[in-house]
Amino acid sequence: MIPFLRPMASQLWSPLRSYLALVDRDGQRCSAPVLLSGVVVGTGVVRLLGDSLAQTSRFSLEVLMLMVLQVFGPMLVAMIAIIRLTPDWVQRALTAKQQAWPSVVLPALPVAVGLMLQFLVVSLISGVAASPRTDFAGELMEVLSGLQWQDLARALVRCALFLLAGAAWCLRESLVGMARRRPLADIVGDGLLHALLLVLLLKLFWILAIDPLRLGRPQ
Amino acid sequence: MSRSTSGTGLFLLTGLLLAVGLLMALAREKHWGQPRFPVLLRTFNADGLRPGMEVRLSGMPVGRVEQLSLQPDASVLVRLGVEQQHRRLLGPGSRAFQGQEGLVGDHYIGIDPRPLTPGVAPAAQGVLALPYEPGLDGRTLIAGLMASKRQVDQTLEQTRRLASADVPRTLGALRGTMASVDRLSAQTGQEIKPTLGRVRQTLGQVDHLAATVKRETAQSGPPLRRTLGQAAGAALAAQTTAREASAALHQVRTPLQRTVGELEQLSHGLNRLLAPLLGSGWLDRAGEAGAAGPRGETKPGLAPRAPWPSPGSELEDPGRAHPRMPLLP
Repeated sequence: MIPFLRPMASQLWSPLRSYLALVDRDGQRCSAPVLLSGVVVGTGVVRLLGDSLAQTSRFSLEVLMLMVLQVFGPMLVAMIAIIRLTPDWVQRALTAKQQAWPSVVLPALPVAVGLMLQFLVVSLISGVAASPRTDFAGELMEVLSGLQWQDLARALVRCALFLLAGAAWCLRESLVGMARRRPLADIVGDGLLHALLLVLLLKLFWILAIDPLRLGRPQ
Repeated sequence: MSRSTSGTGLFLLTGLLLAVGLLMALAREKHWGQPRFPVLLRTFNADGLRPGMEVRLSGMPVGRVEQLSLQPDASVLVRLGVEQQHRRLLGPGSRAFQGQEGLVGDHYIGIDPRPLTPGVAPAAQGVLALPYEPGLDGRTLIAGLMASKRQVDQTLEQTRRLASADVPRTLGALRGTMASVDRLSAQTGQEIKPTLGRVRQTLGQVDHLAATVKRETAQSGPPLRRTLGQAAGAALAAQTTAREASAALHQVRTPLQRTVGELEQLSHGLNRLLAPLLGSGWLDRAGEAGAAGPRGETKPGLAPRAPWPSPGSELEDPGRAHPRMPLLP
């Protein structure tokens, strides 16, 4: 490495390393419930449509993809992450006060993207495994062939925005509560509830105003 | 679990791997990076068409519908993106149509392949425009099915009427025919027995005759063969004799002709000498007496007289009693 760049690199690497460690820690904290939710959603939707409603496996998987990407996937992932991370966000607010914004809001973006990818992949794999067809790889490739990259990108962006909004709202509530010397339990409870309500309202706003839900094959 | 523990990088690594794998799978399934060429369709009925719809060539996905645009003449211009590697399979005779997987499956745009002949290069940058055949309208299809059902019902009704009138009659005639066939077969069965007996007997006689002929042929064959050999020898000897006789006759012909010529001259001389005697009648009386000899011989120069007069016979002309002898060949 060029000698005069070394100090600059060390100056950049130190905060980046802290940031990546923060992202990794938040992500790991939320991964388990997200993966479990993906398994439950994938298996449940395909079984429900295939067994109870007598739909074909291909149709069941398309419906699963539609639900994961457009109906409740980003919202569910964001809500799980908010539930798991709200105590951490309150703790950081207590520790860093006003300087806690970067450590709360910025990691929310990559954490949401990673969790959403995990949820999508696990739910699709679970759905394919739950379908009656035996050609696992072929079925998975067929499902992926129906996946549109625009839908995937839109779902990732939506999930990131939901979690970002929830984190920001929770941090604001924490800072306001600490300034008013409210009990910590009230701060955590109110912040969690309001963040979840905010996500639901954002979802409704997204459906009504930005990207109306299309019931059909993703385009 | 302590909330201040630092991460191990597992989440970041997992997220990175998932993102890369998902992108690679999408790129593989969507054929990202493969060059495409535009194909244009024009239709006045774009029902069921939408961007992103699959384009299939011989049932295989080769592209997507890229764009639909309404034109000033109310037609819809459909722009397809087809993979460049299949460019040679689309010729001027290709035709696009709207297809569907089964009755309730996905719609797609199918293209009939018309491969270009070897040596003919496809247009490099040109836009290929193909005729398009829209999919079947459900309402039209149901109306057609209803019309067909009515026609089928009418046909079935006519068939029922025809069957109720004609089938019993036909069955009666068939029954009569079968009875006649039964009678005929019984009669044939009765008559065929003695006929077969006779035929069997005749065949036995023929066998016996054939055996006899064979036996006789075996017995008479060698003598016949000998006789035929002898006959062939006799014929050969006769041929030799005839050849020798012919040679002898050829040798004696010249002196014989000369002798005959001399005899002729002698006969003419005798005729001239006897002519006056015949005119006096002396010779006739002497001749009659000589001619009635005890042995019935005739004298030379007189024609033999028949023992009884034949009808129309007369005394021969003395001049014709010695006709000129023909010359020998």
